[in-house]
Order: sequence, then structure tokens, then C-alpha cells
Amino acid sequence: MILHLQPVRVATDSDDCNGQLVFVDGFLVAVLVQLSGQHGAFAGMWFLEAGFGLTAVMSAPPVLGLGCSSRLGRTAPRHNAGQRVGHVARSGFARSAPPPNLITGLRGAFAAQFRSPIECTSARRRCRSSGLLMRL
Amino acid sequence: MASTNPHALYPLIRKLESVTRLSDEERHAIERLPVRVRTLSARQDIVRDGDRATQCCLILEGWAYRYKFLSEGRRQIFSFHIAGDIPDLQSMHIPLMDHTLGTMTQATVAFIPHESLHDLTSRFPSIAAALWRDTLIDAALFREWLISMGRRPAFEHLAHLLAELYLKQEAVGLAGEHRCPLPITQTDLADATGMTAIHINRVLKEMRGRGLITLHRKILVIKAWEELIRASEFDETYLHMRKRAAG
Repeated sequence: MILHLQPVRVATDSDDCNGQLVFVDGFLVAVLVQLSGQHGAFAGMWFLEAGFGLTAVMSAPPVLGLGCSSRLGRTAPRHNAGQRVGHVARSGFARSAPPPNLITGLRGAFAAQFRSPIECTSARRRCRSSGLLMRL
Repeated sequence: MASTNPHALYPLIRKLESVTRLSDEERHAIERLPVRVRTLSARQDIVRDGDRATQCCLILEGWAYRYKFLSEGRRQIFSFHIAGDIPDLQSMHIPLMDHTLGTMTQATVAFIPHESLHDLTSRFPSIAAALWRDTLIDAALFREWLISMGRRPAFEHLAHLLAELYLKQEAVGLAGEHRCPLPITQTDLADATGMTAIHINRVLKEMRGRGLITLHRKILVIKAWEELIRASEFDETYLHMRKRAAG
């Protein structure tokens, strides 16, 4: 399974225009956008702007998690001890990601999605110049 | 501790009088309802999805909301509620809760036993009609939210919601001059509109940039009311407010 990233500018009607198209085996599965300074503490994180197929969600796509154990589009409820259900906090944000880090995060995300072991390629430098490739 | 303080239920009377007329006798009957008044902390569930309710909850102060959780923490907010609302009024007749009611802010609420409400409405059919009218207006709001969810772009959707929240507060004297409390987080707005907090942030920034609103320290100021309602094709008819539209 080949994961491929392609830089793209995205018209979001905001300062968030730095994006990446995510392809799996040649199929477009996601459009990611790096959040700009207008998002305060979330600036620099990557956001799942749109997802298709396995990354699709019912409504507007939620946040893309790029942490080691995160999954695409996952949110989690937060419960306060001793209280009934508290508020929901969006989870799955991860710090700014130059493309190699983004790939690392995506690898984790897609591993959870596909429930398959990951085999890293050593082609990062070659791939970075022409989009990024990673074997899952 | 039971309380029969007649002033405690004033927000309910004010709310009902915003959508219908009440006689003195009807007002007094409402004031004599036995209630338990409680102050609840923010983000506390009042009655939960699956519970069997035996009482209704009147909001006296603060904000509440109705919502439902789906898997993986996904949440849909159905409605926001302010002083005077009885968000779980339907539990009088369908006590098994199919969603959750919780506080958004610290809130003072009055719990009214179902049996007291049944007694009140059987003695005063006009109050029953007023409460029914209130639930029908509630349904009208749901229809409007459905339209927003399905057919309005993000900017229109959020503008429509802000206009609604302002007018609901203005109708019961909690807001004026296009300025109102808005103690709703961007995550709450996202879960109420089917968007993400990121999209909400972008739309609010655009609204600020166009000079339509300011939103600071949980106070919303609508600086360009006419433009906001024009942008969202807002028609307040569905709120059926007595002061603004007879009937």
C-alpha cells in the first residue's frame, strides 16, 4: 500500500491555505491543511479538511490526529471525575508537521485505519522532492 | 428542600408571556407550583439519555443544552436554552429520555414534579395550550436547524444561529441593542452546526472581518444586524414571538 503526498494550495476562505493531498495507492483519500496563526494554540497543526473513502465522515470532517496513537477523524469525550458527563474535547491535534513528520503521523493514522503492520521505506529524501511516498 | 417562593418561577411566566397571553389567575397558579431550586455547576448533566424522568427542569438562570453522544465521542447538540425554558417539557408525556439535557454554564434550575404539571394543566387548559404552543415553537426551531444543517453554507448557518440566539434572549429581556451573552465555546458551536471548531473559527473571523459582529469575553455584539439577517436569509417568523409578530 503506497501513501503519497502532494503539496497543494487550498481555498478555505481563510489564512489556512497550505495543504497536502493524500493519496493511497493512487486514490485521493484526504485533503490536509496546515492551520495558520488565526487558530491560536492549534496553529501549525494539520487539519483534515476533507476525507474520502476510509477517511470520510458523515458531516464536515473533524480534526486529523497525527500523534502516534491517533486515528483519522477521531474525537473523544472527556469525563470529569465525580461529575456526570462533561464537555467534549476535540482530540487528535498534533504539533506542526513538516512533511516528514506529517508522514509519520499519517503512517500511524493509516495503520489504525487499515489494521495492518507498517513497513517504512528508506526513500524519504527521494520522495520529498517529488511528493512523498511511504509503504504501509 | 421544597420551595414555594412565587418569584422563583418568574422566568417561566416571562417566557410564556413572550409567546402567549396569561391571565392573573394563570400566573398565580404557575407561581404556586411546588419546585425544588438547585444551583448546578457548568457542564453537568441534568437528565440523561435513557433516564426515566419524573420531573421537568425549568432554567432560572444560566444556560443549558440538549445533546446526544454517538460513538467515538461524536456529539450532536440539538438546542441551547436560557432562563425561562423547560428543555425537557416533553418528558411530561414521554418520560423516557432519548437525549441528554445538561448545563453549559453554572445554572440555577427549578425542578417541577410531573404530577404537579399534570395537575396544573388539567385545571388550566389555557396553560396546557401555552405549554403546547411552546413545544410547537420548539419544533419550529428544530425545523429551522434542520434547514441550516442540510442546506445553509457555513457562513449563513452560523449567522442564522447567532441571530436566533440574540432574538431568543431579547424576547425575554435578557438582551437588547443587539448585544447579548453568548457563553458557547467554538466546540459547542461546531457540535450544534455539524461543522468543526476549525470551520467555526474561520467563519467567526470572517464575520469579524466584515464588521458584522464582535465576540469578546462571551459577549456577542451584532454590529450590523440588517446585514447579518440578510446574509443568512433570517426570517424570525419561526420564533413566533408575541411582541414581534401577533398571534
